[in-house]
Amino acid sequence: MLTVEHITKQYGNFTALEDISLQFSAGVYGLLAPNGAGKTTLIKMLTTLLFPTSGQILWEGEDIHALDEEYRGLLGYLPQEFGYYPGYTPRQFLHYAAALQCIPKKEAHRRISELLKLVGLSDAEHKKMRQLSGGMRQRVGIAQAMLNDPRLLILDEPTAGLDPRERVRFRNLIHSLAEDRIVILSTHIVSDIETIAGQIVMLRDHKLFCCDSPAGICGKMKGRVFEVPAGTALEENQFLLSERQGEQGTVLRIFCDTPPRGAGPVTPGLEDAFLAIYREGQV
Amino acid sequence: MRLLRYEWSKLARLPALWGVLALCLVFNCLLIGSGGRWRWEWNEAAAMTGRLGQRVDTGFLDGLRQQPQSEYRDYLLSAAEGMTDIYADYDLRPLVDYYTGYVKSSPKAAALTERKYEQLAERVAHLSETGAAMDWYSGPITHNVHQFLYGVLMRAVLTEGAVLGMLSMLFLLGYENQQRTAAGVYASRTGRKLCRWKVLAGLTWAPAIYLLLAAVTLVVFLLFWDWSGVWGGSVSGQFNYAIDMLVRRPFFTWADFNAGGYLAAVVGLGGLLTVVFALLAAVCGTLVPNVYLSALVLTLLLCGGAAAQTFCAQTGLWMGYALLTFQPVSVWLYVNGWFTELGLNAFVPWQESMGTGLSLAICGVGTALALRRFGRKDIST
Repeated sequence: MLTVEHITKQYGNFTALEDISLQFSAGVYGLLAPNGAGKTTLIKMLTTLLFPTSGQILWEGEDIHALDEEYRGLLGYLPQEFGYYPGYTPRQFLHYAAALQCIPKKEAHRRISELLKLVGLSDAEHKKMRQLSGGMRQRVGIAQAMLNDPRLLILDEPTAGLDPRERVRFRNLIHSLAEDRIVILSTHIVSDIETIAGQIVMLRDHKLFCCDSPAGICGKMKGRVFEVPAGTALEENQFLLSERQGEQGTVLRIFCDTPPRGAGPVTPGLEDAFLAIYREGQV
Repeated sequence: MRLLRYEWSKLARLPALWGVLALCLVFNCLLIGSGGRWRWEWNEAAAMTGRLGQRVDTGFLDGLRQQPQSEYRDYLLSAAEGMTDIYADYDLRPLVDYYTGYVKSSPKAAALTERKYEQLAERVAHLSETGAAMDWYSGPITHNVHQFLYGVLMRAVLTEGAVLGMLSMLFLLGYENQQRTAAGVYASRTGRKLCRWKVLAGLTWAPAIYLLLAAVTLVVFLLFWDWSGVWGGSVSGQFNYAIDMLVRRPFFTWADFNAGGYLAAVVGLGGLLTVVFALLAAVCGTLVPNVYLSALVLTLLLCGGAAAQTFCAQTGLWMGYALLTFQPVSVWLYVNGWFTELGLNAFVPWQESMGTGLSLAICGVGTALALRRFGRKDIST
């Protein structure tokens, strides 16, 4: 179990994260927040790249910095900006990643073949990384994150650059992996996690806003999301969430506490919740 | 070990490095060509010593007289007949007075200078006992060729090796930031400890590159210059001399060196000095994540040290100057006089060796502390 206890991260006078406490056990966690909310800072602390200014992160009750390589040996991590060596082939790059994870050569060879097949790169394994498309490189990144069969898998914006088919395949893969491990998936693309995350962690104003199931979060929005015809003038305290094409033309999806005249409540989705929570000016 | 190989391979895959290395070798070949004006004379004299031996005694003189008569043979004969044991009654007092006169504003520096020449007096007596002055090395052209080999060629090789070593180290330490792989790499099981492998790779790579440069350059040099008969001759022979601040003195070495041993010692110390420079680069590269900024800091550090030494000399801060003569840049500057008394460039015997040893220790500790700090700081990506 991974426990985050009252962690704060400050850069001089700027507080990137304040007093965050969380508990993670096996399952998929979606870390959902707009850019600049502190998602990557939290992830970098979970991966030991950053040290908390105060508070601590515990793995099975022990501080992750004290556990050091023992902890990182359990960790698989795909950074937001997955860097690569342009002159290496995917196989060479994964062999290097295996050396960094201290995986014996023979075992690494077998595992790399499995993973290349899993991410659909068997045919491109001998191409230079610079020749691969963004999506293919991202798949190499996913493979390197899973090289050591991690007990804690942290993926920062993992679907960036993937086409819709790859996204679906990736979601299925994550879902199947999450049975016996913790998967933390940071994104601002709601559809990436809506169907697979058991818990959604939301940050606002650099603090923890909520950690709840998608149904729980949507439940709090019940009776507060409405659809009105396009062109309806919005009153104060009515926030436009999105527009969509309805059966009778364009409709506006709005968020407000009291039902607008002539509007019917709709079932709120996670995207509505996201847009309502992070409406203009709220990060 | 696997990680060490990966770090080496990052360097080996760098075409620019091999390009610069090739340019350095071409430059060294051009330098070898520039010494051509002494080549004929050296080769003639060296070939003769191959037949007559290095020690100039009656046998040597008789052998020389039996050579076919030529203007050049007569010139060598007159030079050989004029040889005396210059160490027998060598008076060091003028040298002592000259240098202590310079540093007299600092009693400590003056005392160190006095002490150095007291110890040199013992060496002078020893050189007289061994008859080193009577070694031919390779005759009247010795000084020019010795200075060409060490003051020009070896200086170039050492400079190239040190610069390539430093750049390689900075390249390795900045590589993950450049390729944007730092986050993935430092979150792996190896983590920040990868930096240790990078430093180790840089520290082994730098002397290897230097030795490669030295080996190729010396092989090309020896293809055109005949040293076959001179390896056993003492470098303290009377045709070899050193000039410091316009004062000429014999090539007093702190131990008995023949030409072969001296070359090996210079190449060896050069390798250690390359490691010192690589360690300096390791400190800068570890503390400053941006590779260009770390190169700038390193340049400022090296130039700043040299500038501080000049400043101390100009303002008469001789003790400060004395301490700064131990820095690696200073040791590099007087490569053509290593293992000798070095005039105003040294305040203790074996200063270049002590300076290199001290720098190794200091930079080694500095690197260890920098790595320790790196292990405890945030990774900025």
